[in-house]
Amino acid sequence: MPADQALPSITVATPSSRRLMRRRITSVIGWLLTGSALALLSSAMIWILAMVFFRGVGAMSIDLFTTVTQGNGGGLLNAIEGTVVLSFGALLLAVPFGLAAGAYVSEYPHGYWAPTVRFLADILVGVPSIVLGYVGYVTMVDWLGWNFSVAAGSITVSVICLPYICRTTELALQQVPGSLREAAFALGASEARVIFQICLPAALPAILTGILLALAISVGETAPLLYTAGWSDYLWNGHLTHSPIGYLTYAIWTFINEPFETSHRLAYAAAFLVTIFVLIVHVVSRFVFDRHRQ
Amino acid sequence: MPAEHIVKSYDEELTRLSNMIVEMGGLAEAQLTSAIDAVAKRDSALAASVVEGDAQVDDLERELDNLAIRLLALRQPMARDLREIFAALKIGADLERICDYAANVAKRSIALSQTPPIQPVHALPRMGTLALALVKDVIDAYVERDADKALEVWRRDEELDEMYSSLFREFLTYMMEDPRNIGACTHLLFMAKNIERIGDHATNIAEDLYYLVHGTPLTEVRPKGDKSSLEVIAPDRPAR
Amino acid sequence: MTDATANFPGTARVSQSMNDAAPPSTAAAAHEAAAARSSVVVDDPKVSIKDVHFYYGAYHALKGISMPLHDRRVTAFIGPSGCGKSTLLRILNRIYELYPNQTVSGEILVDGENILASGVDLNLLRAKIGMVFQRPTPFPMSIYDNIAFGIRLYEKLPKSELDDRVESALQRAALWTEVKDKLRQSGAGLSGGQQQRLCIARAIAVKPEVLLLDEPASALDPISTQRIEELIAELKPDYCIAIVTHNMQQAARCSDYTAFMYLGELIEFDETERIFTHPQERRTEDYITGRFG
Repeated sequence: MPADQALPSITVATPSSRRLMRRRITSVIGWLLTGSALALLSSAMIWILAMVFFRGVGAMSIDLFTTVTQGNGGGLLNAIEGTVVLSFGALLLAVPFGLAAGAYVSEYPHGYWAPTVRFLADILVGVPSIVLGYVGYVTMVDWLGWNFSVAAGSITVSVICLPYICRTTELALQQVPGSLREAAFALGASEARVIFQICLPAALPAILTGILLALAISVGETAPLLYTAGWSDYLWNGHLTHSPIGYLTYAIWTFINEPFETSHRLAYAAAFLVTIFVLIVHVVSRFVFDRHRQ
Repeated sequence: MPAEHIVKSYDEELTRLSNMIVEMGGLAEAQLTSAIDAVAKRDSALAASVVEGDAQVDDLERELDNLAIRLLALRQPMARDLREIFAALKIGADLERICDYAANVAKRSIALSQTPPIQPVHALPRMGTLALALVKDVIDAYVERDADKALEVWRRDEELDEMYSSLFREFLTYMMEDPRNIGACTHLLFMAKNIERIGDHATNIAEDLYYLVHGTPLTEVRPKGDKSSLEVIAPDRPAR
Repeated sequence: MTDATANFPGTARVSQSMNDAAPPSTAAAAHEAAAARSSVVVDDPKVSIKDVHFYYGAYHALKGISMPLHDRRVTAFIGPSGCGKSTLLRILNRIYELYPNQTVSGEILVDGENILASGVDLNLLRAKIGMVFQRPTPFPMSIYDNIAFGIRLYEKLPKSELDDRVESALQRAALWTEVKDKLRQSGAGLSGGQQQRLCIARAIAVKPEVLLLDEPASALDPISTQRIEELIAELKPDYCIAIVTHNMQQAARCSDYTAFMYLGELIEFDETERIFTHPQERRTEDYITGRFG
């Protein structure tokens, strides 16, 4: 284009100032609303964390991790061990069944049982955990005669975790693109191989996230364990039945009501440990998920 | 007529290509008509204008080639579209040659009109008119994309060839009778040959049109009426 | 041995033929013409599709398709979206059976045996007839394991032999030099074109006889597309290849035979050269010249 030819002038369409004003106001209102929601949530969370942290940190000591609870004081070794045992047991039961159910519902959506399984999982999520604890008490502690036991506690908590694992597994597997399955079938793979060698590995990060979340849930359960695991001031005796066991959430629940300072410190410490653990679980699961995303 | 392309500009360009051929065809007819007139009326001015007009046809052919290349590169033509473009290229070349021959005839007529008129010259416009009819009809066939008409033109060229053969003999005989006629008759011979070549190019156009329409080339052997290349003319009386 | 092509009724619907003088193009005529023209004898077709109908529930998606697929040749399926070309391809290795409510009738003979019959071992069928899809789909495992996955389904090979098979598959797919140092890395780390070549290597590692390519290059950039086309040309002497493409120039470049489909019917089947220079059917010409579709 020759240099002496002027470029055509471009007029930018500007909205009228009244419309502009209205858009600005709407924008400001939106930001205010979202900002205050954020502030509300963050402040609540910060307050909780701060309270737990400050009170809990004050209660930290080596003793906490080395001695068992003694009446109204002592340490939390038994509670920590109990939480670990109960959660591990719960996952041991919930993960295989949850994975299987989730895989079934995802890979055979038109299967005979699929709608039933999905429906039951949805219901189970909505059942209050205390009701599950009650059922656990009536059937396992009382009727089966197990008394307060690791078995009863783990089974009850596993029932709570099961629908979550089933649901997250189903969603994770649904995220696996159909083309991946087709490619495996087109090579002549059987259905089992496609699920185990292709779909599950592909969905693994999301499945792991689901399991970790179930872990976080199990660590925080109180009511069902009250009815099924009881409480023990001692370390686990190694039996599955007739084995009341301690757990951190009991400590929080009970000791905060006691009039003793030592008890309160145990309660704060337990709350602190539980909260920290749940936080770690969430952060780790985020890390696991993101790392595989890219 | 087949439906239009989804991309309208493609149709426009193909139409433009076709119109260029028709324009060149019109020019060829005009040039040939003027050349024949120039011979019949011994009009040197008309002949000169024919010679000058040939440049316009050359320009048009170049423009046609450019458009065809552009279409090939940018449109990836298939099937009938491809055959249209291919035919346009070949027909353009043939029309350009026809105009060249018409210009040659006109050029020679200038020289011819400077010599005293001789008798056989009257045969030439008759031959030219026949060739003109061939060109006219084959261009009409192109406009209508009518392969049957093209085939008909293709066959009629035989008549033109036969006329050329008899003229060949006539001119030679005339030259042998009176050597003073050799100059004029030689020009006439070449002009007759040019007109015969115009007929051949018209049959080329007919063959290209047949391929365009049917997608298979014409494989019949064209009847050739030109026996002149095999002729031996013996003199009536021995050479002095 | 009967000439299987004689069983084909006129596949080109000559009802709307444009050119009276041109010979009718049935698949049998094209086959014989090709045999007469070429010095290589074109045998009975490797795959014979006979009067195949396909239904998605009540929807009649494929209507009476009959055509041959010749060995050591590439056959392209072209046609506008929804014409059924991918559907037809997916019948050839019965991958449609993964989904409910899809039924097929008719016969498809591969080396004389009807693969649509009940009692056919699907896994073995799919080992014989390989497929590559539109989007590259590397499995979530290393490149080596991707290739070995198919081999391991059928054969128990010692490691050295498996290594050789993997290497030769990658060589044939023109990918070996690019990945030989990172066989243990995940397949997802490759570029799009490389991933698609990985999928092709994976498909040919199990030594199939027929290769089905469903728009293999449509998700790739032009250079990768050309590499895939070159790969198809290199693979041609050893496989019977069927390729679905909506890129007509690709079909014209790659294939020996072309089938034009429209609304579930086979409109015309012929040598690629004839389809693209002077097809017999008005609808075929309208499609390839861009007058509809």
